[in-house]
Amino acid sequence: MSALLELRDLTFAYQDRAVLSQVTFSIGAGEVVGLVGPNGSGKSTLLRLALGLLASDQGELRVVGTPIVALSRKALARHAAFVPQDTVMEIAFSVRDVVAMGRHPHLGRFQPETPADEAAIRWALEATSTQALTERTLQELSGGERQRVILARALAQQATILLLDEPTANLDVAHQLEMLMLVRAVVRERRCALIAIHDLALAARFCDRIVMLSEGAVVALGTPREVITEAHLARYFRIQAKVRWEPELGGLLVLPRAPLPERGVPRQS
Amino acid sequence: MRRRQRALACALAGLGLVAAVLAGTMYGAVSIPWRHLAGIVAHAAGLPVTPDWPTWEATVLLHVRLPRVLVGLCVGGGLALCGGALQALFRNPLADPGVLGVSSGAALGAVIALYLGLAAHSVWPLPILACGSAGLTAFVVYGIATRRGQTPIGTLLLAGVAVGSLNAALTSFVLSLSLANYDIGRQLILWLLGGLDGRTWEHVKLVAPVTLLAAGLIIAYARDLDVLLLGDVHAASVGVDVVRVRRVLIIATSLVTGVAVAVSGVIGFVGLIIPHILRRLIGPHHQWLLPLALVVGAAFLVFADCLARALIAPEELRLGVLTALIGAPFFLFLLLRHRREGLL
Repeated sequence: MSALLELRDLTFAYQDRAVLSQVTFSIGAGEVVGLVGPNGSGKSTLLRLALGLLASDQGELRVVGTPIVALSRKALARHAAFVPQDTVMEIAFSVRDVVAMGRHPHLGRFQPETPADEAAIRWALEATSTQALTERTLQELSGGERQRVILARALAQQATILLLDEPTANLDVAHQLEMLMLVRAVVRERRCALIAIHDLALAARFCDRIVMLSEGAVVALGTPREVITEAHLARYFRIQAKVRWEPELGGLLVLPRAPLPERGVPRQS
Repeated sequence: MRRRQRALACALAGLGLVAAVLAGTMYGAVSIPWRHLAGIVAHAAGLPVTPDWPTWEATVLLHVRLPRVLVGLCVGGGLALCGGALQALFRNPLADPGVLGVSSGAALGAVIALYLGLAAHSVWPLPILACGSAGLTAFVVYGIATRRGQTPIGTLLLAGVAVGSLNAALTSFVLSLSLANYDIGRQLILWLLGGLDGRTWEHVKLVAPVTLLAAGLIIAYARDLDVLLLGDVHAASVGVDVVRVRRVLIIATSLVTGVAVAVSGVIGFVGLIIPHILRRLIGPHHQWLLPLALVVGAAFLVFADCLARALIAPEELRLGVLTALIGAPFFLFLLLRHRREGLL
């Protein structure tokens, strides 16, 4: 299994505030990897580095075998696509227009759409069941529909790496499940996905592996069962939780019970 | 359906442009029959045509009307195109070529040139000072809003508004100084009201190459502008170099706006309303919207100039006054009609 996304000793600081330190892991074809950690643990920064929006201070990030620094913005966009938490668009582009924007890295400045572009757009619409929405505008859609359209936009890019930043945070439970099942379905064996996600139970249900970040460092890496443990949640998320493996369901039940006091903060008495 | 609307809009815009050029060249204090127009132009271009028109017709057409129309085309087209591009770049329906303070910067440079009497001897000092101070304004605004290579849109808009008001205050200051001298005060006020009267081939030589080159550059970024409307992160994730696109477009639109103000004074509303109307008609795709804005803006301003000459003849209404008089109510009408959906 060759790695599609490889991070080695990745280190990044804003000014003198360290955000990521020596992050190392890789994702292979067919894998869905969850990125979990409390707020401020560096999840978004990590995704921004993988998107080429930020440049790392040290270490290396390889995209489909090539160092990210050697890729142009368009070349990178042909390998990696992004789905954010929510998208606001005030101008009335149709759903088809928005999905077609995923073809931007494949098109020259004045080049019209080719049959290959049209095929990619059609495939993306079908894969996300958004064909019926093509003439609607983004504002008219519900949150779940909009997120599916944005996923279609990412799929139209025909990138092998999907980067998702809290893609389910604004969705109801049914749409959260629908979204993640879609991601699972499109990843299959050729693609991979890295999903920053707060919901630990969902992460455990849909991810092959979990990367747990705390204060910019990878503190646990492995299957959901290995990573999402009561001890880790207490230590890194500062919560008291009950975690139970359900063999029949093939999933974890995570019951958060109470926050624990912050480390290093002296108790008032 | 969209496709048919676009084809129709293109055809109408083309016809409008031809009609505007004909009206602008034929109509005036004295009319030149359309039969003579082609002959005079062909003759001037050195083609073997026997003159069958009075000489004054050729003089008026070649030295008064034609430069006036050409300057009008460039200014109107340039302002409308820049407005369309900036509305997308700032993701803000209120953006127009003046949004970065560039036009008020150009106006300041121009009134200084007029006040110091530099503009009395040659046509060049005024446009040069106007362009210079427009460029300086763009540079200062961009510099203020940029920190560590990042230029947030909100900061850029605020800096533009602030520097723009400073320019406007300084312009008023120069104007108030000039009132002591009636002639200069009058010149300043006329210029600030915007107009195309007395434009020469020198003005055409300044405004045409800059506008055409910059327009080509801006239109080349049409698809990037589409994607930028989804947001910076989206745009970057599909391969748009957001920082570079923004920098190139700000430089290009500042140039166009600077030369437009330098040759025609302050002409409002063209850059705001033309793109909005077109977006309603043909949709938001910039590869259609931008070229059409160029054509429609050009035709609109030349028509408006004809109207400005006709309405209170033999006096001329100031063009800047007229565009605002047409533009503001029309804009309000659009706003009322589309209150629910919003303008963009």
